[in-house]
Amino acid sequence: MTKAVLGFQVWRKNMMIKTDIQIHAFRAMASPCELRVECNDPKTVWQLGAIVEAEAKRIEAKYSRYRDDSILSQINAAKGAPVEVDRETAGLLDYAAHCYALSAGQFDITSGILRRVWRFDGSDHVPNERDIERLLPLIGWDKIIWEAPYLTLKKGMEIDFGGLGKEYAVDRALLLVQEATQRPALVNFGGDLRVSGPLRGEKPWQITLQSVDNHNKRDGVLAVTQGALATSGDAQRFLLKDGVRYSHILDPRTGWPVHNPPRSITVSAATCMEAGILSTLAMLQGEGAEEFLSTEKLRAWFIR
Amino acid sequence: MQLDSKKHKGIASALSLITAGLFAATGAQAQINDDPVTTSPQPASSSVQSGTDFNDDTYTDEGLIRVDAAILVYQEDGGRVQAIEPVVGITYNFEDDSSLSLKFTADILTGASPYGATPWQDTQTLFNPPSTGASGSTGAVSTSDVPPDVLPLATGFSDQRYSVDAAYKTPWGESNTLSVSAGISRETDYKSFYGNVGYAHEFNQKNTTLSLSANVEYDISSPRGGHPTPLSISDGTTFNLENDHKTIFGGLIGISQIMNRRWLAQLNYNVSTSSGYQTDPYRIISVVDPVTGGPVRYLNEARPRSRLRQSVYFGNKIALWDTVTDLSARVYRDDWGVNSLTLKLATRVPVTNRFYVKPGVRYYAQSQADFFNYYLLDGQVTPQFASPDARLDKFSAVTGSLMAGYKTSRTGEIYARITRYEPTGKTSTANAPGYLSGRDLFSGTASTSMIVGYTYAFK
Amino acid sequence: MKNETHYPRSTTPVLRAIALVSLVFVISVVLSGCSSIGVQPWERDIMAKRDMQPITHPMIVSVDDHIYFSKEASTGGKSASGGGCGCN
Repeated sequence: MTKAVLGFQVWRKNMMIKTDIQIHAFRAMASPCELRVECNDPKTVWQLGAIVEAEAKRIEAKYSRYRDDSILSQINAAKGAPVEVDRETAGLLDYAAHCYALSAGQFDITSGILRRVWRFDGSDHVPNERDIERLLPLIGWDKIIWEAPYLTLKKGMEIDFGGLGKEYAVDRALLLVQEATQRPALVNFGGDLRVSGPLRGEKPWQITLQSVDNHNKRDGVLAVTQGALATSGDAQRFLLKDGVRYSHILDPRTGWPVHNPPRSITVSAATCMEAGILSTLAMLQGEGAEEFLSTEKLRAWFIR
Repeated sequence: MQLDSKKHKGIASALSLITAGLFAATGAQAQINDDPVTTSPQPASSSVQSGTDFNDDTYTDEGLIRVDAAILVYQEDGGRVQAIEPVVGITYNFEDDSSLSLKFTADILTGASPYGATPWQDTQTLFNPPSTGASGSTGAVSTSDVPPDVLPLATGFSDQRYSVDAAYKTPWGESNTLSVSAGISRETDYKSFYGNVGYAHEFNQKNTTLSLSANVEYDISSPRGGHPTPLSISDGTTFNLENDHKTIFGGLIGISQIMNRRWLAQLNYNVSTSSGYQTDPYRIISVVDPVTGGPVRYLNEARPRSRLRQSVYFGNKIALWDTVTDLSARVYRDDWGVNSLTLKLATRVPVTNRFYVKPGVRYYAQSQADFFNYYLLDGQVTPQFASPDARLDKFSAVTGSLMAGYKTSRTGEIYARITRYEPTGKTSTANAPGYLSGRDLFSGTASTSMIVGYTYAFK
Repeated sequence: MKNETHYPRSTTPVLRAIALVSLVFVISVVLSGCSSIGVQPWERDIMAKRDMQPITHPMIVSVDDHIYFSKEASTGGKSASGGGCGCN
């Protein structure tokens, strides 16, 4: 059983699992998605795969920012009027509210509008301060009125489940798979993954992570028997200006990237949502990421 | 932002609880349909709040209404002045970053304060100022016998003061702020009207702020029984029943500069001129025999009718580890001959997520006013101005304070601070005549005070 | 009144040192055009903390100003104007 070891060099995820396992792959949420099941029967795999794919697409249809007909887009188009939300959305909003409180405002689902000025395309287009100052009054979960089932956003504010959506989908998909079968299964949406348990014979899933840079070819293998992994990192999304690399981890309180975060943090936790939030929170500590991971006694791996 | 490593935050454990709650509510068994919900299950809020760390809060009051209430209890040693001062304030912060605030202050004072006369080995009979005491009929003159060998104190004094202040601040353009404020203060024998306008300009990527402000004050002094003629003999008769007044004009220019990520510095220059009645109508000065030091007669004190004050203030806020330190120095001088130095140091130390302590120390030293004297010598020419008021004496004072605060909620805090002020007179009385030689004639006194307050903001 | 200035003896060198530090501070701020001192906007995380604002407890400042005004001759400092009461 791997213990929590900080400073253990990490490698970004790319799945390469060595045992004989069947895969159902598809594309959703702008990522390569898959279900891996230790199973001999292709029909069962196809059925389970269909469940996972349907759940991924259902959540995407409901919460995608890119779809005008999603519940999320309807909420964001309300122009200050209260919106009545369903139970699932209410649960996610409560969750986001708790995360906001726990993180003293660093985890904030209203901060998505910063993407209007921050485009992490590898260029040097760092926004100027005034652009950010104009957005700050429209950011802040404390400015929202959330009294279940009614959500009221101030005009101009938006919410965005980007920090929660994929991880929630992984957890939900895996729960549905567990309902349908006892076989060992792994759900992986774009690198955020969760396993239902060890492979047959108590063998762990072998998960190989790849380096963030192209230069570093070392691979690392994690042996996972339970729980989830999620990664925060800047591999593809960053800005580079005057030799300073601006990570895409923005602090919603200031509108600017956090100070000196690690390049990548992978956290292991019981559920994918926890792993995702904890890795995001760790990144938001910037310089203090290692300390945060240590204080919280997390199993995590990072690259500086 | 650094989370504090000394304390196990419990964010991960709180998170696992709320995640369990989320999936219990929307568990795989539950039908996911888009029915509206009437209630949503939540974990016990106490376990979630334990992870919250208020020490790194950066929220602003924009859009919030903030109420402040505090009460000061102040007690000087030796049965001298005691004051109870409640203050309440409310500030409306509007969405455009402007704000309007109102403040109400009451001051209830009782106790004893020095006449200004020097002590003597026999009982002295002194005339009371006509307005001492709760009610006095005009024209009635009373005397008090003060015991020997102690500083003569006028006892039984009681007064109330009430004041109202209003202030409005608004941004103007991208980097400017305008502010205006006004207030009225009244007590039975004194009224004050004051106003202030200010302008601040931020530049250099908001690292530097230039501030300018001007203030005006008009005070009316109306002791019951009228104003004694300066340096007239204190015999219970007073002249000049009309009120007297003074007018003050002041200005401030300041620069505030972010020096580095952890250090904010501020430099202010302050000048003010006051003209009009600035004498204490109740204070007398003893004229003593040059051999025995015994009182021959008492004169009403007199101070100049104009005063020019200047000060330079250098203040700093320094963040080190998870503490925040205030460090400041102020140098002051005026044309009455008073020069002073003030040094302050206080550090806020977080103890838990919500609780902090802030110990502080202050050192103060001032020189004498030119016309300050503990006594005058009989036979010598009476000077144009003379005052034995301890506030114009040469002394130094050390203040120790300890403050503690507890964040009751994100926007609320209850706090208390206890302070001890200890002055030490520095004027030598080695050459004082007779009885007074070598005696400590400094009439200032140590005091203890405690302030307890609560602040809370809401939408 | 123009008599010799009565500095508390021990503070004269301290006063001079403070005047010198203030002068250096002002000159360096002005000469550098202010642009070399300071932080980039994304380094303002600590400055944004509520506890780093110059006045964190206005009630305490208000009460302190009043107490010191009634016991000492000096005024001024962080903000202009004190007074309002007849206690000096």
